[in-house]
Order: sequence, then structure tokens, then C-alpha cells
Amino acid sequence: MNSAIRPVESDTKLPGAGWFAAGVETTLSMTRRARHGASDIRARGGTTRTRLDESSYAVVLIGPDNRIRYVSPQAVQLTGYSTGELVDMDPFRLVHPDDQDRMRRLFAVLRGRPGATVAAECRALHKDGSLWWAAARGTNLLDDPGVGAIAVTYRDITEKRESDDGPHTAEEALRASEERSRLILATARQAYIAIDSAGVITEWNTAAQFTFGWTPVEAIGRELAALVIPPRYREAHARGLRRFQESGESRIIGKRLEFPALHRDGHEFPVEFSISLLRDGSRYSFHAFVADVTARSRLEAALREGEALIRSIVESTSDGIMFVSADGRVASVNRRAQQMLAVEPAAVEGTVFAQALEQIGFGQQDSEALSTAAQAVLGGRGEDYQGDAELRGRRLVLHWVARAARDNIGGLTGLTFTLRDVTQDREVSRMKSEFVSFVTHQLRTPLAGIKWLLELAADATDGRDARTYITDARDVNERMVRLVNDLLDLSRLETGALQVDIQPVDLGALTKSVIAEQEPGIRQKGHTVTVTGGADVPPIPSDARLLRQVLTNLVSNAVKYTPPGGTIRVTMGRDAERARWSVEDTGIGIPARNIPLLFQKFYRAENALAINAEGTGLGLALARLIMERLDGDVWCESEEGRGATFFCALPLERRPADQPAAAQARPDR
Amino acid sequence: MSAATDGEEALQQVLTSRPDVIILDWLLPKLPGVAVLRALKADARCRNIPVLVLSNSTRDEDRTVALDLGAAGYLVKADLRLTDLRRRIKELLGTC
Repeated sequence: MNSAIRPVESDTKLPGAGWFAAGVETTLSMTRRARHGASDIRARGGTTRTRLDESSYAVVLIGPDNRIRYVSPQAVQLTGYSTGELVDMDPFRLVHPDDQDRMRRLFAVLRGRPGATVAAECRALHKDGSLWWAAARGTNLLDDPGVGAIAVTYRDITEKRESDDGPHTAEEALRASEERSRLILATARQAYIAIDSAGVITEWNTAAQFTFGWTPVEAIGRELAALVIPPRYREAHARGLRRFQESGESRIIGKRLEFPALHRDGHEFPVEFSISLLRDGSRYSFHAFVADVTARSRLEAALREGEALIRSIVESTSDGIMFVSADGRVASVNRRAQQMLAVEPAAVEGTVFAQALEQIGFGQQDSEALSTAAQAVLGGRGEDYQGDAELRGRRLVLHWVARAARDNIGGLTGLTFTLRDVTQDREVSRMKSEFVSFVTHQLRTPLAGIKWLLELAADATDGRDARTYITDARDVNERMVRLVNDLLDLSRLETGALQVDIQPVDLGALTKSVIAEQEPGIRQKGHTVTVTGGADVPPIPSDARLLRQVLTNLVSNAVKYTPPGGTIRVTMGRDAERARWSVEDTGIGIPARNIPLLFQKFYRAENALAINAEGTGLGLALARLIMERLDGDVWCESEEGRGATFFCALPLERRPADQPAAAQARPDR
Repeated sequence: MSAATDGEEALQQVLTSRPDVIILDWLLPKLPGVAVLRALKADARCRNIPVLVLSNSTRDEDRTVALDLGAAGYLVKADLRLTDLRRRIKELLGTC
């Protein structure tokens, strides 16, 4: 409490001047006495300092040499030194070191002002080293011919200061400390609760009132369980208390806990707290700071929900997503990407991207492109790359986009690969270009031919020549009409708009009639044709016109793609549910890689293109669509150069539910 | 005048009958028109026989390839009238 030491303005008219003058009077007489052997005034030695009552002033005279000239008996008593020790002593030795500077400054001021008085409080040092508080007043009487010294009077104010500023005893100090703690707890912003060993509330601060709704007056003395513990936890709480009472064991003391608590208004809310145990002899109590963590819980729940939402979006998207972290390792692969790439997350997550690519099975070029993109993005040389990559062996074309992933302050966190299955898109564009070339070739050629034949007919001078040209033009036109009809059928079948006319069909008879129709071509190429098993198949409910189209296409293909002198075998039969027939030839066969595409429209096997430009790429597509429409199947087995066999199967009976299936939409193939 | 139905046959016939002018379809079985044209122009025996390419393709690429290989002309069938074809053949015969 150093700040309590305040100099009184130097002013001779201070209220103390009266008593001081009187004091000096006595002092002066005493001075003389001291000079003449006042050694009978015995100083009190020992360690205990005697307190003088407030009215007792000690007087010290300090000479021009700044040494003590005279001390009163009270001064001897207060300082603990003997008169002999005090006389000629530096007076500042009596001042506590911390206050010496200040007192020296004041003294210097006083010395420069004859007649002035300065008052101050300071800490003084007893000879035994103990500290006491002095209120001192000095008057500059150096100019006074009768004195020639600075007169200092002082008294002991230690008791007064301590009663003002601090505890006097350890007990008082403890009481004060307790009081302070109580004040701190009472005004703390966090709820503070204490209970005794019986679970009765002993402490409940204002913050607890805000948290739980009960005032300290209402809460203290009540059972904690009844007030703040939701009913379903009360039994556990009671058990815990009992266990502690019996064994001194606790499962919760010192741990950070989160539990639902009950508010006065009945609502439950999450609180976080940790309980400490205080023992006082055999008595003990539990103390806890309790934080309402509703806001935090809500935030956490919102975070969890947000995370779950993002996860569900990532997992349910139709695009594959692969995240590569900034260190170049695969961090996560969503479900769609797992399907597309046929990988288990455990197999690739954590592995270096380039290794993962190898494992996934992209071709070398595609892998390099992907790696380059990843390196560029992770190296900060680009934000956005894309390309197509093919998965060998699975005939899957994936369009990938590599994009830098950044946190909200723009730091690179990694790289997101988005993968889209574009196999169908690429297939569609391939089919588009095939359609263009189909139209170019299949429609423009005969149109040009017809045009030229008609030009020739118009220019012909000979009537017979003209007739020949016109007949030829009509034949070409008929071919075109068939072609356009096929295209229309195809389109109707694809959209489900084709009506079927279900009647019993004799497959054997139908086959014979188709072969008879193809007879000119068969004879021209010198093929041998055999038909077996027609009698084994009962009439089946189907559409004869459509079936004839299928058979015609299969037989004419066999004739067309078999070199002269080949053998064509048509075999019919049945199993329990289906009628089956096959058309087998000894022709050029179909390359294995072409077979999966064979039944798509406009598609023509590579070797068919090489030997014969004629052909529309429509026949097998029509066959497939018709068989599907009739609930049957058509498929092919072949080895290049060794002929081909086309199989068909149809149900022997139609299910009633199939009847109105005319306009049913079918998923794209 | 003689006619061939595919590329291979065409090359054989050119060597045996030495025509004055060749009218070559671009899309042919067995050997495509472009291969026939390349073979014709690579062989000293028939390099100088003018070749008129007839095609359904309107693509510039095909036209460029054909003319670069030395075709005397590239005619698109759908746009072509027989009288024009006749006139082009007469022109080519006249230059021989």
C-alpha cells in the first residue's frame, strides 16, 4: 500500500504547527539534557517492539551534516537502537530501503526551504529487522539560531494501517481469503454448485441461477437430484453417491463430463462439468463449475449434420469422385467411383496416385495424362484439367475433370477428380457418325442411281432401252422402299410404338417359306441349305410378319457372308419353355471383339466391310429389337473365319401380362 | 468399256484392258477407292490414265486426298448429272 504514503504540502501553516512548536519547546529542553548525560534513558532491546500509543511522538533532530543530533526516549523505543547508537547515525538507516529514495527527496526539498514543514508516511526499520509504519513530520529549523537542525517528529501508525488495509492475523487473513473466494465464486460468469455428502446443495451462485432457473435462496438446501438431474438419471446419481459413501470410490470425480440437465422450466439441456472433491476431516463435499453447452451441442450437431449431408451428396451423386490429398495420395473414393473403377476403397486409399492408376487398370497413355494433370494441379501450375480415359477390359470410357481443391482462404488442400461414365455418350456420337455415313451411302447412292437411270431413259432413242432403264430404276426404288421401311420399323420398335399381331405361328413352315424366297441367291452362290426339327416345334403365339423379318435377315446374312459352295444349316427345337432355332453357316465369321456390338444399328463387323460394301447395318439390330418385342432372345456365336451361328428363342406361351405391352418404354441399350 | 465390282477386280482389269479413262467409285468392297487410286498412280504402266473419282462423300478430306493422289476429278454422285459426267469423260478423252 505504498500509495498511501503521501507528502503533505510544505506549508508552515499546517494544522500540526501548534503541537509541533510545543514539541520543539520540550525537545529543546531535552536536547540539553541529552547533551548533559541523558544516558539513563535506557533503550529497549530485544526483538519485540513496544507500541506507543498514538499520542506518543518521538523526536529526532538532524544536524546540517545530515546526522542525528538528538533522539527522544520515544525514538529510542520505536527504533530499538540505543541513544549512543542513534546519535551521529545516518537517519535514513531507520527508513525501509523501499522508501529511502522517496524520503531522501522529500528531505532534500525540506532542507532547501528554511521554515518549511513536510509530512509523510513511510515504512521504518526496527533494529531487529522488523518493519513498522511511521507518520513523520519534519520542520526546517536550520536557520533558527536556537536549534540549527531539522526537527523530525514521528509516531507509530502500524496498527492503524493494518486495520485499514489488511488482515492482522492468520485467522483474519484466512477469513478474508475465504470471503474473497466466495465473492469470486458468487460473481463468476460460470455456474458454480457444491453439494455435501448427502447430495444437498450448499453453494449455488448467480450464474447457476441463469443456467438452471433457480435462485440461490431456492436452491441451497435442496437435493441436487430433485432440482437439476433429469428423472431418468436420478437413480444412477443416487447409486454413485452411495458407492462413494460406502467405498470412497468414484467413477466421475476429476473427469470432464457432459450430461443432460433439467432447467426449472422443465426443458433439458446439455451441460459440461467436472467435479472436484473437497475433504475437511471426515466431512467432504463436491464442487463443480457447470457450463451450459447447448450452443456448442447445437453447433456440433449442425456440423455433424452438415458433414453427413455432404457425405450423402458425395456418396449418392452419379459422378465418381476421387480426392487426392496435397501429398499426392488417394484420400477418398466415393461409392460411384468405386463402382466405375471396380476398386475397393481400402485398396487405393492412402496409395500414391500413380500407383492407384496402375491398380485401376487405365491404359498407359491415359494414366500418363491423369498423372500429369494431378502433378500440374498439386504443383500449382494449373487449376483445371480434363480428358477421356478408357478402362481396358471393361469397355468403359470415363470423362475426367481434375480440379484443385482449396480451403476457404485459398490454400491448396488437394485435387478432386470427377469421373463420368461417357461410354454411352461416346457410343451415341459414334452411332451418329455411322448414321451420317449410312445415309450418305445407303440413301444417296440409290437416289443418284435412279436419277441417272431416268436421265438415260429420257435421252434414249430406243424404246426398249428406255424400258430397261425404267425397270432398273424401279428395282432400285423398291430397294430403297424396303430400306426406309426397315428404318421405320427400327424406329417404331425403339420407341415401343410398333403394334404386334399375335397369332399361332408354325415355325417350320415359316422357315421353309423364307428359304424358298432366298432361293435365287442360294443357287447363285452354290450353297447347300438344310432344315431340321421343324416338326418338333408346336405352333407358337407370335407375330408371323416380324418373325419372318428376323429369319429373312439371318438367312440372307448367312448367304451373303458365306463364300460360294458353303453350307447353311437351319435347326429348330424346343425345351420346356421355349422354342429355339439356329442358323449356322460356314462363312467368314465375326471377330470376337465385334460380337458385342453386332446387334446395334448401323454397326457392321470389320470383316464384313472389307468383303462387301453392300449392307445397311440394320438387319441384326432389327432382329434384336423384334425378338425383344416378342419376349424372345437372339444371340450369336462365332469364330472369325470359321462361320457363325445365330440363335433365337421364343416362349412357347405368352404371359397374359405381356399383351398390353405395346407402348412400354424400354431402357436404352 | 469394262466394269469391275470391287477394288481388286478393278486393278486387274486396268492392267489387262488398259482403258483410256477410269471412273472410280470411292467406296468399294475389298479394296477401297483410295487404295485403288494409290496403286494406279504408283504403277508406271497405268500412272497416266486419267481417273475420275465418283463418291457419295462431300467431305473435303476425301476430295483433297483424291486430288492429291492425282485424280483428274472428284465428283459427288448426288450432285451429278449424267450429261456432266459425259462432258467430263469427253474432255479427258480429248486430252489423251
